[in-house]
Amino acid sequence: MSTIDEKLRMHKQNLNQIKAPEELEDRLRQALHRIPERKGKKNKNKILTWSLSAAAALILLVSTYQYPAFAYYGSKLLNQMELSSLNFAEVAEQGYGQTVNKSKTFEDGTTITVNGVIADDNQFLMYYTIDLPGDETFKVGEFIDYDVLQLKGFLTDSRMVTGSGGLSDDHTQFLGVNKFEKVSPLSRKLTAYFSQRLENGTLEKYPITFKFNANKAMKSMVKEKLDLSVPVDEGAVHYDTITASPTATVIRGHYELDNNDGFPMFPGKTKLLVNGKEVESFGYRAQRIGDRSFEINYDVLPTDQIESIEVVLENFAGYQKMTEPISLAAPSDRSIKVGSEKLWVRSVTKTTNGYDIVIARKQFTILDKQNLAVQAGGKSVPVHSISMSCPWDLGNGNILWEQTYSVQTTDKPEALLLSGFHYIKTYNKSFTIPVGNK
Amino acid sequence: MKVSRLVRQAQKGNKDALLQLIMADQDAYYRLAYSYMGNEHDAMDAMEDMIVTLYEKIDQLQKGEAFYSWSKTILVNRCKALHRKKEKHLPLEEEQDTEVSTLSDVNPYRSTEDEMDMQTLLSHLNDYQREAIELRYVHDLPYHTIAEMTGAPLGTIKSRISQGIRKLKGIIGGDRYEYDR
Repeated sequence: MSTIDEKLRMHKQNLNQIKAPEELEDRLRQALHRIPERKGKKNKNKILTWSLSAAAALILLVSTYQYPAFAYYGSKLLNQMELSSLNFAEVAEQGYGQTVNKSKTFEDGTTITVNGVIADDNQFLMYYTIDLPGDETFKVGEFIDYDVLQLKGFLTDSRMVTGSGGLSDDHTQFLGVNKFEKVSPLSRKLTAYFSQRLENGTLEKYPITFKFNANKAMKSMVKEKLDLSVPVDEGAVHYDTITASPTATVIRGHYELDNNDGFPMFPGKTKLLVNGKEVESFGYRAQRIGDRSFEINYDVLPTDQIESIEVVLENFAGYQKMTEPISLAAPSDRSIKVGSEKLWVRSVTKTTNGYDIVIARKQFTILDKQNLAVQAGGKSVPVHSISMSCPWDLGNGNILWEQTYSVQTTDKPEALLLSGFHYIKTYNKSFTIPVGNK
Repeated sequence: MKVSRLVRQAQKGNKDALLQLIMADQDAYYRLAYSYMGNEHDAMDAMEDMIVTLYEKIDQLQKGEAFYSWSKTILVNRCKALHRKKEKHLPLEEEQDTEVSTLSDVNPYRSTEDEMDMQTLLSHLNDYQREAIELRYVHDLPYHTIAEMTGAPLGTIKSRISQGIRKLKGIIGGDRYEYDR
């Protein structure tokens, strides 16, 4: 049916024929040999603690310094779509942001202008335009080779989160809106690092510095501590705060999970309802290392008249423990029910070293590889290797993923010993957040 | 092989333990490096860089089980750094040469018709989409690992993949795709 899946599978099979060269091990050994042995950790730790506490002090300083309140709410709040599709003059007309109008013309005659910015508790939006020299026009459908990925200032080093843009009607101008991580209210000047990929492949950087007035940052409509802890199979999801600012609504939290490296196999879905209506979700970010924090980005609230806020954990990573072995006696294309999910034991084939077992699963049913074994000849034999997964297209719109599990045994495997599997579980746990009516 | 045990040993400074961890999955590492670098010479360089970085940073790894996704992320970063270096230092002709050799490599797996076909097909994607699709479908890495590797948010990875796939489907189906957004 879907030939692209087949082509990707072929592509993978081709790549799979690549084997690491024989000399790899020697090369790596020599590379390791050349570097000095690591010294004891003690000294290093001390330095680290010092710099960490210095950083902590700074963070404290920053977080106690709030954005001065500059509140303006027109009759209507612009949503995220409008904020990223209107030009700066249009959003400024609605009372948003601060005008910058700082341009720079580069050697080839291209002019980049930062038109204006909107700062608030969640993020930083920068509106800019790029004008080509003379009569040159941007080609429709062609990749724009200008970018702005970084913003720096005093205590500010913000990365771009997303960006969007479009061409003016006559194609001479590119209008872009980039969203950055929020900037420090202590920054008085900001530098945006524009860059251009030149034809010879080098990356040219064009910094533009402009004044920033934190007093013109926009105040949040809702800024509440949530302190919600939702128990899930592998621990708990904590929702820590909700911040509804004029450009976005963000729920921040962290995971405390005792499985899979403390990070969920699937981010799941958290719904936000305001005054009983769902607010559209625009994305999710999480830190796999460190504090395992996450943030979920939602649209701007439709109103600042907030009567109720509800947070719903609709689904999330689940873990189903398995106590019973799964029979391998009758391989077929029929499914076997395991907990609330299904598996397909498709074949058990003898190989030169043992047996290959092909098991298919839904894309988000992931077998736990820890202690994975088979029962063969009355003994437990660990699975020796597992192939990468290949799609199994049922031809009816469903695609399953199959993997080959190889075991080294002369006895025919009777059953699969599986400690459990990860899957997307429906939780539907709902919490109402008290809000002070404004 | 117990990964966490070897990781602990490597954290104490045991170089052999680290080497053992890599060799246990050598083909997967090599394939990943190869698909970024496009030739054996550079892939090996990237892997050398990787193992040096791993040895220096393994202290920072908190959970042994995460070793493989952590180290592959570092490998991808090393590959990209090598690319950047090449872009800076190589004159234009040389860079084009390497690109051509990627496609017309004498290795059998590259010369099959299907593979050429696929390379042409993938060349319609932008670099981000291509990278995400290859990591997902060819190297079987989970979305969150790909997000980690590329430094992009998970949602972005998912949309790069779905947009890329849609584009490829459009091309195969003979649909118009040029201005597909």
